[in-house]
Amino acid sequence: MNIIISNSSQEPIYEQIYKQIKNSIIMGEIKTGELLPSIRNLARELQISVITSKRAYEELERDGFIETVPGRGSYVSEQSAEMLKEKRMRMVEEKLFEIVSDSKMLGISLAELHQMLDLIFGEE
Amino acid sequence: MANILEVNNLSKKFKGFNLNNISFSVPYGYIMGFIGPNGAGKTTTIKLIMNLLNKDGGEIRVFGRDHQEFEKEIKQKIGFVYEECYYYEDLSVTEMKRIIAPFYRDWDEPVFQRYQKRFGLPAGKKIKELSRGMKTKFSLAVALSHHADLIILDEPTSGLDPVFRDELLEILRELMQDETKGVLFSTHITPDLDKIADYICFIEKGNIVFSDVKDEILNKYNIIKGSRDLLTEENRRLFISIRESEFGFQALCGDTAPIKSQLGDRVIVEKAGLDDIMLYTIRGKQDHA
Amino acid sequence: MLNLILKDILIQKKALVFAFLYSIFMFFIFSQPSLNLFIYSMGAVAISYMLIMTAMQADYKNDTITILSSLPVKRSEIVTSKYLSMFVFIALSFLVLVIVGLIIMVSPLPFSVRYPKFYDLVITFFCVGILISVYLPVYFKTGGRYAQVVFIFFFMLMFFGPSTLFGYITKSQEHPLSKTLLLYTSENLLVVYLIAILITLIILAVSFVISLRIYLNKDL
Repeated sequence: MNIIISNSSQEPIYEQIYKQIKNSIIMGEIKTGELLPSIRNLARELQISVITSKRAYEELERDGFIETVPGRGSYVSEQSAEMLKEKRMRMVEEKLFEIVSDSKMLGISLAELHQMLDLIFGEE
Repeated sequence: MANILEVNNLSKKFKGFNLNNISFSVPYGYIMGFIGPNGAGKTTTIKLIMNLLNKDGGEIRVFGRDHQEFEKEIKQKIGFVYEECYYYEDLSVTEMKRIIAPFYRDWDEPVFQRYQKRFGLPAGKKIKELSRGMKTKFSLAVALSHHADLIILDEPTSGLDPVFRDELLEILRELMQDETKGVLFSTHITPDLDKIADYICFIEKGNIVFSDVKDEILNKYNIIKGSRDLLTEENRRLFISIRESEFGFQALCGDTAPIKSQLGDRVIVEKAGLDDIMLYTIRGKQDHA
Repeated sequence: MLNLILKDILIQKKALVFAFLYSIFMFFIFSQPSLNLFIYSMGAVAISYMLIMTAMQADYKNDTITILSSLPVKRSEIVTSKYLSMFVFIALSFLVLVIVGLIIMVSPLPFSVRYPKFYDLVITFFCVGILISVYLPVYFKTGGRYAQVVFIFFFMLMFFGPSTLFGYITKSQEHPLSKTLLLYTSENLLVVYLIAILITLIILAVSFVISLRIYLNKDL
């Protein structure tokens, strides 16, 4: 997981961290149940204050992406796995919309599309 | 949240300077930056906490206990680094350490050796032959070698190079991995605190100007820049202090919303650092005095 | 508190070396029969004074009091240790003198050296005790500035005083006061010793209380 902070950006640091971790979770870079670095460890590595990293984690927990177990640490939550799936489905859905409208414009039929899909799926 | 250090209504009178009802707290596991110009009262406050001076009023609690009643016990767990460190000049580093170490019940010699090595402290060299930076490093090594829970630093980095300042911050970050510790860091070189501090307490002329979470402070204040003709009698009052030049103005603002709504795109809005906040606030008081 | 006393010794290794040199010098000066009486006492007084001076100077010159008071130490302990170190310094100076004395005795040097006696200790205790009693409160109050002057004055007084006074008394043996004094002393030596020790202890105690009063609430 990479977290890059910009000091000159107008966006508060905790928000930058929140976004980047959230993204990593959604993109599947960090898996469900995986342990995140501790708040203090994160603060040290990023050279920020403990309160800042704490706030980022608190927001992530509030929005359901992570769960904090006292004494153990913060884990990517099960709930986020659901959200992840949903988001991914939506992402693919959006792309499919584009493909379908392009196909219609170019006069490609559903059957032809199916064929292409089978071919490409098979290859990968 | 329990506090490692609590100062309540602390006051002290001197000729020509008073500390007026100072109150602030440092919770366990966090760093408090204590900022203010020279002569604001930072060192006085620290001396009062360490019982070097007698308070005229108020209460100081360290580790939840009164700082005078349990003075000896408390000081076992306090590591201190002062701006000027007065040691026996004719003694060597090792000899000086041998004098100090026995006072601490939990003195950890291997830990001291590690820091001595890390800082490059020459064991046999006399204190008077050490540079200022080295003396401070010695103080720091001692402060960190007896399992202290509260570290008090009074202007430790004045006159030190950026390399060591960075190393000091790194050490504090390491320390803060343990949430049973706390740090009080007093300085007028605020960039050091911009990143590392959790809380900031700003003191000026013996009074606390504000004491708050650093993130909130930095998010609240902004520097507004624009051309002078944008300033009116009315909107001047929205700024804490304005600095005008031939070519425009710069001002500190505590609440950016009204400015944004009035002047919007015609001004540049920038983040304010702690030194900006300190500078403009002091100027603002001088202007309105 | 032991640490504080130890500290006062550890910071003056150079002075301890000087102590040995001083002793040789002392034996030389006091080897005349008329002054022989005072060799150990004045020698110990001189060396004690030097040790005390060095210790106090070190604290004063280096301004170490800020660091010391920030260590886990009570103000009362700082004061107490200063008074107790007096005993340590007296003991140390006697030790040095005795060692040097023994060396001289077995050496071919032409000095006449006698063994130390109890009255040496009494006189030393009295002289150093009076000095400390006046010096320390001044030191605690003013941080060493005027204390220097006090110290030097007392040093002169105590170093030359006893022998001069003694010489004066023995010379004017016809005077009724000196006669009774000498008579009483020679018959009740022990009592005289006890009185001297007692007076010193009382003065020290008073001084200690004053020092505590001064120092316990001082702003540093």
